Amino acid sequence: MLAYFIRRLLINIPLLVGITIIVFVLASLMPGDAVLAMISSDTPVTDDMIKMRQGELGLDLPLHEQYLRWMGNIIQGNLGYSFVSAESVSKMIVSRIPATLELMGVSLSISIILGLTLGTISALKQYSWMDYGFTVFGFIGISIPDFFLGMVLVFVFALKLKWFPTSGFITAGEEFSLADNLRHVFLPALALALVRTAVFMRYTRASVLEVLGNDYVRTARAKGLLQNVIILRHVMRNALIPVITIIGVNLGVLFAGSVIIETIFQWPGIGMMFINAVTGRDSPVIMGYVLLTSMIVLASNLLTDLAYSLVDPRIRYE
Amino acid sequence: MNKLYKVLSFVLLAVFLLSACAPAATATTAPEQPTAEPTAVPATEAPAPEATAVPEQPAASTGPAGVLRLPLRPGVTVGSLWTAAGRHLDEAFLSGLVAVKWTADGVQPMLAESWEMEGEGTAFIFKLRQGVKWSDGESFTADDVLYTFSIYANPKVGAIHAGKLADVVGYADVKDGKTETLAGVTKVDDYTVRVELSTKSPLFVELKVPFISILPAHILASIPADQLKGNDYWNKVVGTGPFVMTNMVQDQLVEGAANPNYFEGQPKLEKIVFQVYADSNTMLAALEAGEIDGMLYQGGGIPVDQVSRFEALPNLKVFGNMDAGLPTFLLVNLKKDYFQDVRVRQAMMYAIDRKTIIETVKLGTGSVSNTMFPGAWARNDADLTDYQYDPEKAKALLAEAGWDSTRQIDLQRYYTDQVNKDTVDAIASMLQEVGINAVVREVKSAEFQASVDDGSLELAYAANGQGLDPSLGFLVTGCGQRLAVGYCNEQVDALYAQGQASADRAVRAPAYQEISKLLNADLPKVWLWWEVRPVAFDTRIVGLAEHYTEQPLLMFDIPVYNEIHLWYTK
Repeated sequence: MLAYFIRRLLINIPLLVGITIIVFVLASLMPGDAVLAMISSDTPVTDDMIKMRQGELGLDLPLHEQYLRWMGNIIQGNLGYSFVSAESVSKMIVSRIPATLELMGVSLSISIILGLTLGTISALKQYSWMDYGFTVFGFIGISIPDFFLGMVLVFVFALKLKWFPTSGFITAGEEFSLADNLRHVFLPALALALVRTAVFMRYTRASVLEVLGNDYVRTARAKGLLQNVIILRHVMRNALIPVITIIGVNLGVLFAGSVIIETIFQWPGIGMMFINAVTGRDSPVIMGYVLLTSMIVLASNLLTDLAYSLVDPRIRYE
Repeated sequence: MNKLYKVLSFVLLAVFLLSACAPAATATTAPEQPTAEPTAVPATEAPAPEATAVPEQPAASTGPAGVLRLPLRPGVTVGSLWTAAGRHLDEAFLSGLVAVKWTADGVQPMLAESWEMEGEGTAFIFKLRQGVKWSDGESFTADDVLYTFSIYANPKVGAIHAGKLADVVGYADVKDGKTETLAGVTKVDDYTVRVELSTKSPLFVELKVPFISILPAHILASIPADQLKGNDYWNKVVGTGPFVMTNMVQDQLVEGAANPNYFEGQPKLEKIVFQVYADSNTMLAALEAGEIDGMLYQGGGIPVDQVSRFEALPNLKVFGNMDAGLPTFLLVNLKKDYFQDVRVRQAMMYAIDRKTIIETVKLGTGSVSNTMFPGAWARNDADLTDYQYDPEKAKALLAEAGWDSTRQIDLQRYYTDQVNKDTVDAIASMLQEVGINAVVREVKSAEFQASVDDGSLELAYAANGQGLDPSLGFLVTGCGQRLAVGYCNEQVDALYAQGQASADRAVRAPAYQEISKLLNADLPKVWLWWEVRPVAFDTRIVGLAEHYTEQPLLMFDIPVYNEIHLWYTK
């Protein structure tokens, strides 16, 4: 087991290096660079000024040298410094992770609670008008892009009904308060939650229906257990196993954030940091983000594999 | 249990239907009948007091008392030395020696109490204001000015406005790395500074000095120049401005409290908050919802097709026709041989029906231009060819020039709002009509800038902020300038020099009028129009909207908040 774990860990290293090379090359294929992205035709800058800044950032070096420079720093545990703000990339990431975790955490919680509840109702009331209603809702939820839903939510709940603020992390000019912050997180979290709610709901429905047909459920009914007890103790417990796997797969987004929703709602998370870095051609930040997210994906894949062997004793890794 | 399901599902469906119907409602009511919007708010079920407020008493209490909330673009928080838009922060937290007046007629004293010109502009002596304190209690002195000028010029800092000091004696040595001290800036005594210039530059104070924000030498002088960027100082700026920075969170906000020791008097506002917006639609929604009190030039303003919607909001004062001092044109790469024949550029001028585009797509905003300078004093319209729309003439000119109509021409557009998209599409189709096969391509700003440098640029829809002074036009029409992209007329260069030889507008005007005429004939760019930039401000801040009522135009990069200490909330 330990040998397997170490072998998998070692395999991940060349994989990670491969990912960084591909992203580095792709990022450098984008036209323009960090210096050109910072200037505007409104305030023209002289040629030699541009060349000087490019030289300072090492943008005039051949691509492989730029990559090796970056890799050299990574080996020393240094993610580098933003071309735009000269801030340390690791500091930037650390300062934005909490906001992303909050947004993604709230959104996942909403979709888990709603998805499980609606899915169970759908299964228990199969072929009722509620089941059909939720099915339609599910299809719509999967089909509507979250940025569009985000704009609709802003229009209805922020601009027309004025129940929630349009954007931001807290109200400008006020002291931080949790209540205020939660009011701000609600709309973006809801916009993100809808798609996943639909997915979780469909999985829950299928899984509950499957369990309902089992002999032990019939036995429980036969011995006269209350309907609620049957559902909570016997059906739900067994039905949730596949659903939890799906939820587990979705946990990676907790750290990756959402580029579009964070931008529309001006949520100061890691997704917005990434998109600003892309428009600003800020490659150390782009690479820092890619490194972080790919490490999380690789780590969660490894952990999932290990978890299988813990859950199911028949699976053995050698 | 059954009942619960029903209630639950009904609520969910209701919420969903509500959100599904809403966008259709905007699409149909917003553009045509903007006035229908406020009544569309269901007053009966809205708990917010705004909905029931009568128009005479607009909901002035949407924001916290004593707090001014302004938007900011991301990236600005890096520190004002490195971003053009950083001047919004500078005017709140730092001060310059002088500041551009919002009435746009010259500069007013700030940290410099007065100044004198030596000779015909070969040196300036600044008398500094005494008794000014930095927000940490230290006194402001000539040493701060000396440090600041040197650090702006230092190539290791890479300040965006370094070029403003190019005329100061010793600039070349600093730029070449021979020294870090600008020799031309000297201390006469603790409150007197002399700045010596290498050429006669009578407009140095009006055009260059306002861009230099004085920094505290006692804090920064010990920091090596190449470590200034990213330094913690920019997160807690110690300054001499009307507000003292209290909090800065990247990508989120910058906050400041009134500076009790501000040299113009303690501001009446208690706080200023700059809220960062990466997306201009988000910024507009926040303005509409009363979450911020104003906007800025860099956000792109209110798209002209949305102006009437904002005008219907009771708490806002909208300036729908705010002049942006912004000549807008097709940037032509004159290094391409097929654009070198002036008849080709003339043909483009005749081919584009600018009047119709303004009247239709641009909803009547902006005015047709046949040369560059937006300031009326800098041109004599009677001298200029007006290039009335004439597609037949355009075709004839192209035929004479031997234009190859099969050649596909790349027309770049980096503006992303609908009005600009429609505008550029209209331009492209008018060019196609006469045989110039222009194909629009949306690009990011960095991509456009790269195409200027690698020579792949053909045409681009571009603009250049010249609200402050026509001399800025040199950067886009002077020989060898990057954005002149191949245009060079030595006569124009000589006239630019002549235009800067005096501070007197009457003396300067003939030079710029002559340049106007040459640019009208040479057509280094295809002149389109002078752009407006609609902006809006919440009337709960007394002074803000009033200020913009008196301000004749928005100037790129110059927020002119120089009376901000007098503003207050209703």
